[in-house]
Amino acid sequence: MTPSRAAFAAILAKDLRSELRTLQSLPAMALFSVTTFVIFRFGLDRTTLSGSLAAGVLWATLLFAAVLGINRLFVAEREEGGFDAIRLAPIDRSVLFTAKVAALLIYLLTLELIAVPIFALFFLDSLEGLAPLVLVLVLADLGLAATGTLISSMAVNSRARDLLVPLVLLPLVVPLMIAATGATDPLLAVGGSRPLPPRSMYGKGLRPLSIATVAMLAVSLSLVFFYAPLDADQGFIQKIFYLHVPLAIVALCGFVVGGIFAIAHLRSGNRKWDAYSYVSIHMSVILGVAVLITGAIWAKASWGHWWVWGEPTLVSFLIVFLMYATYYPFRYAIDDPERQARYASVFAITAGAFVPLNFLAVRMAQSLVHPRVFATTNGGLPAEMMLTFLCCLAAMALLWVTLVKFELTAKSASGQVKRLRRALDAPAPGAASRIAPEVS
Amino acid sequence: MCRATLDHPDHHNPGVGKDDPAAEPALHLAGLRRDYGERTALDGVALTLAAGDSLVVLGPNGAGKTTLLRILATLLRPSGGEVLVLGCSLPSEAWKLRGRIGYLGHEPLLYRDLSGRENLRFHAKLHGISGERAEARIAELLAAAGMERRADERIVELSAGMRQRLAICRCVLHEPELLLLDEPDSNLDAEGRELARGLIGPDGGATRVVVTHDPERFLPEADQVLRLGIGETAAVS
Repeated sequence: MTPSRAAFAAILAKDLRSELRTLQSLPAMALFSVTTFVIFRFGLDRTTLSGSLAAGVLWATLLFAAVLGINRLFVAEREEGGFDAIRLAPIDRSVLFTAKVAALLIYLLTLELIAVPIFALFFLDSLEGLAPLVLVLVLADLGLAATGTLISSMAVNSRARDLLVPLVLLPLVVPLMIAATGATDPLLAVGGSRPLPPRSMYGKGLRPLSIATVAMLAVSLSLVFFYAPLDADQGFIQKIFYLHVPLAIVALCGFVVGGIFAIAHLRSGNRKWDAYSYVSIHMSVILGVAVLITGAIWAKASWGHWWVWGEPTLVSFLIVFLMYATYYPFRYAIDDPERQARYASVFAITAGAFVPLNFLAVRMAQSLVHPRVFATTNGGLPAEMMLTFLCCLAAMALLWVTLVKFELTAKSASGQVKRLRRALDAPAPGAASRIAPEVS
Repeated sequence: MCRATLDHPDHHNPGVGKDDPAAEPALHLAGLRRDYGERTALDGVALTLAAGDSLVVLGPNGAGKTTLLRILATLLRPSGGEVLVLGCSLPSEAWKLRGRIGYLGHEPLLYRDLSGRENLRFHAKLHGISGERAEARIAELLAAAGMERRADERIVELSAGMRQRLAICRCVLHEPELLLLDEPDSNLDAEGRELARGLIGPDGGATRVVVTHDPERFLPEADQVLRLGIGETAAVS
């Protein structure tokens, strides 16, 4: 067993042994769940629940019960010197994080072994949906364990720990809870499993993509804060590099992708590709704003100035950003939809070709200020920093894809609703029945 | 703000190793400073300590003794100055020092709900010692600290003196090159002090930095003495 694996096993075994001896977290979590189910039973004045209401009651209860365990996750390390002991040992600090994620995952699964049967006893008429629910529980627990451990590790050094964990954690896990309740809803529907609504309304693959993005962001942030070493010169502020550079790369690539979709639109005449091009550029402009903000923060901390006009990298990115900022007034200045799509595609192709040319020109310029992290053959970064950077790049790329997919889905759903409304308003009989099956 | 003065007792030559005059010093500090917000806890600490030597740090409460020890242990970042520990520059090379330092602070760094033996096994695994080697080392240390009979009781059930004995075992478990000891005799009875001396005394061969309020006990073992004062310069004879 490698030292890291041995340390992982030691920390996990220590946590589980302490919990078995003291029973400080799990009984409290289980008791909280049961009490909350009782309150829901009388509060809702219902003896059976199904569908979205059942899913909501189950996940709200499990989440708040989990907060109790998350609050205490690092207390022993804080109060009994575990942090110091681990910092003195020749192991990577990320081992502590992964061991705590594993411990929290075991707590959550144990909690659900107790809470879910009681929930079923209180509220469910049929136990048919419980078997597939196991998969949903495990996946959601993984996300909750990773995010909860991250927040707990940050909050444990605060005096307001008990307050801080729910305040920070709950907004962060909203996407996870939306996915979890969405997946649970049809499983707990009356009469057993209910088929999902048509995918065209939700976007094929949007749900797993969202979960993967949240998980990847959690992993990347964990690596940034617990795995990547501190930069010897810049200290903690250098961590913004893991956000700033991937955002910039993804934004620039997004502009190029927008140009490629525009080519597809001009070649095929299919308006779908124009929508893809528009949304790609739209999301890249949003990421571009984040690049400029994070870059300015980093510049102020490192160079003492919010902006350096003599620096080619900064100025060139600003030029690209401003160029794409004119895409919107240019596009919406044209009323005719066909012509609007065609002109916007020409703009997207021209601007998209400018982005790599601009990038190459800047690389050839002799910059004295902006760092060249990939200037050398091995990337100019230590292995730990490079791994963290690549994870962050993957997370940002996933985030971009998810946002693009989300906006396309929203546009598609909005279009379907409009068509349905038009059909319902139409005087001709039979129009509604022709269109309704698409969205029912 | 604290000022530091370094004294070299007559029987030792500063900065020179006991056996090898050309050896790299175990510690080299120059202009070390540590601030807590606007308050300066340490300023201008400078010394060079040869490998295998003992440094005794004296000073009143709040003089920055524990801060100095935590900086050397890589648990705190210095605010300024040069810090070389076992040839590694802090804070940039702190990771190279992990596992080479034995730190005995105010807290024993033992989990209250585990037994002494379980705690030592846990720390052994963190330091890459496992299996029979770990068991043999733990048994040896428990015997040396007089703790064999109480080793399987939970820490929360032990007295402060017994916890300190176990903390000393933890500190030397991985046979560190540098011992950083903050009041090592606290809570120990006469027997405990004598047993501790066998584990963390000057005969062990490790370089030692000892923070103490008991100069009579530790000065005879010192190769160098560092006096930290609050807003003044102090000296020891």
